[in-house]
Amino acid sequence: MASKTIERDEESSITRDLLDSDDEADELSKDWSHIAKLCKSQAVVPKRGDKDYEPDGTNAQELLLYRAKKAMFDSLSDAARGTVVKNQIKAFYVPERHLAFISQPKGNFMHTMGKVDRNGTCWLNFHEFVYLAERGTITPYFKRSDREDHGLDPLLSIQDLYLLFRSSQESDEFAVFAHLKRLGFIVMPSQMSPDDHNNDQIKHMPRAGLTDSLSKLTKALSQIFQVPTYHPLQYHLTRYTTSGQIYAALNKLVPFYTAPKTAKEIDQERYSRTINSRKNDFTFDVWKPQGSFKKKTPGLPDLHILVLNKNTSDYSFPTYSVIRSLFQSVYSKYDGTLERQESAAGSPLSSKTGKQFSKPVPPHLEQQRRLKKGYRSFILAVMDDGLISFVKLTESDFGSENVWFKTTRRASKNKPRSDRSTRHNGGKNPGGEKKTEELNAIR
Amino acid sequence: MDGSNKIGISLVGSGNGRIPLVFDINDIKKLRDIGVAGILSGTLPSAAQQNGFLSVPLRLMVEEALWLTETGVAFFISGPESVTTAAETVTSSEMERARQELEHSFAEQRVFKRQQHAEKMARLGLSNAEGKETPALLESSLFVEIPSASSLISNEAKRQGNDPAQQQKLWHKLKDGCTNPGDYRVYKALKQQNYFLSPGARFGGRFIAYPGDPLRYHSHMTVQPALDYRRDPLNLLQVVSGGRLGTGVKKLWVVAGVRAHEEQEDIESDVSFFSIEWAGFG
Repeated sequence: MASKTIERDEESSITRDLLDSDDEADELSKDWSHIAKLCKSQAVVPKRGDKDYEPDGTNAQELLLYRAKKAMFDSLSDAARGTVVKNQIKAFYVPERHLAFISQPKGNFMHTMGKVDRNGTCWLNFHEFVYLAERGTITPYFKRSDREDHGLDPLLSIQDLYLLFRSSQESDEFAVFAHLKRLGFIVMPSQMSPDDHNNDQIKHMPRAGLTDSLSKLTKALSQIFQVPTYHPLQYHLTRYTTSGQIYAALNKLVPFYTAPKTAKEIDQERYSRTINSRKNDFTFDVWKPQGSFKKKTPGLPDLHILVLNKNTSDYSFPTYSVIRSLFQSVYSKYDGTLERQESAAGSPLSSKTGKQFSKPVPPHLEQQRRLKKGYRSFILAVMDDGLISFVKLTESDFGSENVWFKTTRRASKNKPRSDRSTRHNGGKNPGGEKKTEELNAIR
Repeated sequence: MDGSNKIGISLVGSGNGRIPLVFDINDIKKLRDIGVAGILSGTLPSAAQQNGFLSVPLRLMVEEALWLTETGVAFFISGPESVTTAAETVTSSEMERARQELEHSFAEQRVFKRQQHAEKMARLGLSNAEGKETPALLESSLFVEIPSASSLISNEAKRQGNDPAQQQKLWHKLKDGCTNPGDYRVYKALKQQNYFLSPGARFGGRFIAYPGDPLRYHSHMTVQPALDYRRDPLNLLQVVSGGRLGTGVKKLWVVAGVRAHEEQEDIESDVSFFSIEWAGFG
């Protein structure tokens, strides 16, 4: 009985430790004794204390280090990869196609991975193949090209699988793939050509393109008429009676980039981009875990991921133009507008909108939120020799936001021309496109 | 020293940028004892849906791989060709041997499982009445292991290990694949002072340095990418923001300076370290 309570104590301390991500999560290594317990119940490794500042040469420290190492290596060597005969699924790697096939596909993974061809054979791409083998779900074999039967097809080890990666980039992409898969995300290679993700959108595209160019034309025309803004005569014609007017006039002088905000605008931009060029594509499209996922009609992805290795000689952080073209090819689920449309429609079903109704957000707070959250976004997965940092890049639009005035409802309807004066909104810069970066806590 | 007790580092990919990986758990232990921790990056099969604790393969930094082979502790195994050729030329006798090994493991498992079953029965006080075994059930519960380290390419690996010319070639290719060649000299200099090093992008540096095994000790320093300190400029703003960053992550912000040299052997004194701290006045 006594031992039982001790066990329970230890377990509760584990959950507390796992939750307490304060310092531990930052540091590189974890307390392997927890996982050692998961792996095999017999040899219980006593929980050790926190980390020390530096080695002081005492035996006590040595002992602690020895135990920590033992816990780690025990759990590594006890966790054998593989499967029992009953559940064994054999997958065969075909080197010519760099794919693997399963003749009699079965198993849960089929839900989100693999492609079944006409003959009922399931084809896994190489990332899926290695990932499933690494968790022991499938048993990897090498398909020899000179023989029809599987009599001489050797079993592949994990080492063989990794050596079969065609490039280091592919291997880095696999690391990100596996990281996200382990978290439960649904990950697919990114498919940028629009005909792959939505057919009826293309049909509307040509018209969208036309209206796009039309609107560009009108924009250009209006710009011609705006030119006198810079003309000295302008200052004789206009009387500035409030500082608000001055700000409004200054605002016109600063050129800025307008980020597309609605789903429709985004589609239009992407269309114009696909005609021009498609060089820089994302690596993966990612969906949040969902039960209703269908491989054939996955719908719009939740995230786009681009994998970069920062330590190779040919590495370069995406330039401004690359980032812009990447933003243009974003077609992930766009919650920014959806949320606003929803609140406008006022559907009582969603709890979120219900909340908004009970407590309307003041416009300036809404604006701050807009600026902070931005519009289109994608995620950079930066690989640093095995450690992955996820960085989210978001397109934000400071130019179109009126950050200089504290507008009332009436004033904002009447456009900035009207008075209602001049409170500075803490050092925000008008004009130009800003990208906010934030480290995404995916891990 | 022949290749057999050296540590095999698999280089994944082709061309210059390659990824050094270690697959043998005993090798990983050896590495840890000489102060190379690396990053475990494979799924841990016993807990496959988390990223906190990972398993083989162990991923090394390129600098680590360079240092280990230069000091003769390890050798390189390269490329997909070695696997494909080995797999394409598997003979039927080799397959037979593999099958026998599997059978052997099955036989052991059967014995073990029967024994466990008998013990369980005895504990429950049931007599040996369960004479009728369920062989189908037993057979279907046998475990097929997917090994981490390859037996397929073991011969090829040995051959590569004993081919100094190729090892040299791989070493230089790997070094050319680095973004910043000076980093390797910084790595060596710190290694000589018995630091454990690991990649440091998440603390805003090239490396982070631990005074001992990272399992037990906190790291003290984030080391910046090597500068040629006689030529490369260091912006004052960089220093300020670096000092702040260091304070933020509770580490010393270290600028590593190397001196450009004309194709000579590296001299350790050529590497200097400058540490920057946020002075806590006011």
